[in-house]
Parts: sequence; structure tokens; C-alpha cells
Amino acid sequence: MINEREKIERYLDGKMSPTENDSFEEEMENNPLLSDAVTQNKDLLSFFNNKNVDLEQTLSNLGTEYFTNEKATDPTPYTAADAPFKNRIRFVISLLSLLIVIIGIFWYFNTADKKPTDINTPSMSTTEMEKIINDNMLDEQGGDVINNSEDNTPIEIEPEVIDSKTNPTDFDINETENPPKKEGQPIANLNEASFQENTVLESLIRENVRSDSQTRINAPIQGETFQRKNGMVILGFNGTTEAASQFELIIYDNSPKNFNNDYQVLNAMLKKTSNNDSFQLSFNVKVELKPGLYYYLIRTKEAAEMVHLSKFYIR
Amino acid sequence: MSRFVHVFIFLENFHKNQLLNNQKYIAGLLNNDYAIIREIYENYADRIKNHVIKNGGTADDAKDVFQDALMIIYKKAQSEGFELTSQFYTYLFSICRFTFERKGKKNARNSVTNTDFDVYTYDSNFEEDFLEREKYKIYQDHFQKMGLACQQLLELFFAKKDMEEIADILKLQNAHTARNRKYRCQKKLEKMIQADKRYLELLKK
Repeated sequence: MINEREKIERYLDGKMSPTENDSFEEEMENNPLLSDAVTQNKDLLSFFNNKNVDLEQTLSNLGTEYFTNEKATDPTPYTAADAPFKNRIRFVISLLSLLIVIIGIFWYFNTADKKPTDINTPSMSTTEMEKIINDNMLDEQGGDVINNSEDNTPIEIEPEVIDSKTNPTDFDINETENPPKKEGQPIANLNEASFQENTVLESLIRENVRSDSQTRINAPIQGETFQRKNGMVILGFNGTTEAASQFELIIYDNSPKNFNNDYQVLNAMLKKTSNNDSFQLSFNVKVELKPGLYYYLIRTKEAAEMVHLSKFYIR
Repeated sequence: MSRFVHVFIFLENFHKNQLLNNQKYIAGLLNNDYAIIREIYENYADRIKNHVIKNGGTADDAKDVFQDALMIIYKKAQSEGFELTSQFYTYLFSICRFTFERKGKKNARNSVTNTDFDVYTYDSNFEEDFLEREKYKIYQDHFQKMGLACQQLLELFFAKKDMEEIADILKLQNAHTARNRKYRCQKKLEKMIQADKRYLELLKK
């Protein structure tokens, strides 16, 4: 008997030679007792392989806590007589939820089409905005920034917040396609291509890609216009956040090609200052930008998770 | 068009979250992580209980079915290449439902209705998993009834220790004695199991 058992064990361990294996299997077919013995050995093996007393104990404890304690969801014992009534209630509830979902979908698609924007702050006139931006700039940089010098440096920016990777040539927007225009020209005479909407980004904006509940970007408001002075424009971004992450600001021009190739006009980190239990986000910059439509997106530095997407114009 | 892209991105992220949850729960079971396993109970125990009770079972049945399902998932997760493609709850619910029906509660047999809005997937391995789990519980019951010496010896043997080593650990005379003892212990366990009605029932079905 011990011999037979050892044979079974060798068979189950796969330690038999192919010929021995074949003859053993043949023997099993002809001998139900042997076949049963093999099955039992297999079960025993599987029992020891799967044995996990600790896990069973954990499950048993939690099971007692969650199933047999009197925190039952259904306090009254369920009887078959309740079934039609309960089923009817369930049916009505499901019908109502379905209705709400359908209305929600309708609402979503309709409003998304009609009302492209909904920014968190009440709208502000451009002059008000400019004033705020200018005040901020003066505060932060000692009034030095707003200079109307005619110098031709491509971009003037707080050096510590500029992403070093940004290629300076990225600031040349459509240099070949859009020849520079003189200032004060009526908009109609400006290169219309620079103001053409980028359909992909426009629909993304409509898709509610804007400040999440934790992070609000208050300026620029969507569609805000910034006026150039001597070829330079002062941009001011600000918002608040409760999130711990760092935020990155990226500006694209309107060209779908540039967006697809990730040619950024500007890439900078938002300045984050603590303000009671939230953080103030700000970034002010004076840059040389051609008239046109620009899109800016704000995303978390770590996860590159987009929290806000909007647009502004330079005239 | 891009609206659909956005919806697609949302669904993709949603799917990613699901997969992360799947991984978390599986890892929790594999590591016997109390906090994560508690989360599984917290999230799903009530839903399974409702289903079982609605179909004529008791809270105790639900508890057993839930534990069985988690042990089945644990066992599957140990095998190489295991990947949960559906949502964890869908899989859990499916096993629970199958197990409950299979246990054949007399008043539930033909009246199981999927009243919850649960997605039910059927896996052709469910029957096999169920049988294995039921046998496991029978072995477990009888194994615990055995003397400590037999338990230790069998544990060591199935942990792939050789007979010399076992003799050494258990302070037995030699490998031959160890082999004889193991033979007797195993025989005893098998006899107890063969006499168990539940085991005979399982073989019948």
C-alpha cells in the first residue's frame, strides 16, 4: 500500500518517466479504486497548497462583523409576500433614475453646444483686468516690469519660472505664415488665420475642461482681450487652489499643427503662495506676442492632469 | 467628434481606476491585508447579503458565500498570469451568486432572480472552483480534528520536506518511521472524509 501511495505521489508530482506515466494512466482507467485514490490525493495536495489559515481567520472575523451583526440593511425579515410590492418600488425607482440620466445627458449636450463658457468669476472689463494685472506686477516687481521699451528681445519673463526646456524659437508664432502687422490696424486687416479657432481646443473647452472644485483660475477670463503696447503684452494669471501640487502654465497659439506638435508659446510654473488654508496662484509676464488667438492650459506638474483650459486674444 | 474623445478619455480613466481597485483588492487578499479586506466587506457585504436574503437565504449563508468567493479569488490570484478583466465586484458577485445557487438552497433553487442591477458574468470554471472550495472546507474540518502530531507531519510532508528532515524535526526514529506515520495519518484523514455526507453529496452531483 505504501508503494502504491508513493507511486501516486510520484505521478502527481510529475516525477514519472513518460512510459511509466502512460502505463500508470492506463492502470487508472482499468482500476476505479486507484483512480479514486489519485483523486483523493490530488484533493489533499490542493488542500495543503491552498491552505491559508490566517486569511480564513481574517475573512471569518470580518464576516461575523459585517453579516451577522445586527446592522442589517433590511431590518424586517423578507417574506415572499413582500416581493411584488418591493419589485414595484424597485421598478419605479429604476424608471425615475433612468429618466434623470436621460435628462442629464440632454442637458449636458445642449448646454455644451449653446453656452461655451462658464468661468468662475463674474466677467470683468478688460480695463479692470489690466488694472489688476498692472497692480500685481507693480507689487511683485517694484514697478519695473511695465516698460514700453522698444527692445527686440523676443520675450521678457521672470527667469526663475520659465521652463528651461522651452525653446526660444517657440515664441515665434507662425513667423512665416503670419507676417508682422503694424499696431493699431483694424482687426479685420490683421491676419485672420491668427484668430481662427482651433476646433479641437474649442471643443475641449466646451467639454468643461476648466477649473476643478479644488482649483479655480480666475484670470484671464475666457475670451479676454489683451492689448499690445509697442509689440509687448502683459499677461496676468491668477487663481486659488487647495491642492498641494505645483501647477504648470502652457500657452499655445491657435495653430492646430503647433498644438499637435506641442510647440508651446510659453511654459512656466505658476507662483504659489500660501493664503490661510488655500494657496494663491499667480503668474505675471510681459511678453512679445503677435496679435491672435491663444489658448492656455493649466495642469499639475506631477501628474500632468489638466485642471483648466481657456483662451484669450491679443490685439 | 471631440466630445466623444472626451467621453472616451473619461471612460478610459474610469477603467484605469477600476483596474487599480482590482489590483488593490487582489493584493489585499494575497497579503492578508486587514484594512483592504475590510474595505471589500465594507463596500460589498451588504449587496451580497441583500441578494442572498432576497433569494431565500440567511445572513449566515451570505457570510459563507462571501468568504468562499473571496477564497476562490485568492486561490486564482495565486496562479501565474492571473488577470481580472472585469470589475472586482462583478466577479465577486458572479462567484457568490453561482455558489449560492449551486449550494441548492431548497427554497431558492428555482427562484433566483437578478434583482440587483448587478452584472453577472458566468465563467465555465465556476463549477470546478466551487467543488474545490467545498472539498477544501471538508478537509479543513477534518484536518482540525486530527491530533497535533498528525497535523504537523502532514503539513511538513506537503510543504515538500523529505522524510529524513521530517523525522529530524519531529524527533522520530528515522525516515522509515516518519513514512509509516504519514501513511497512517493520511489514511485516517481520508477515512474521515469518505464518511462525510457532504463529501458524498459533492461526488454525486
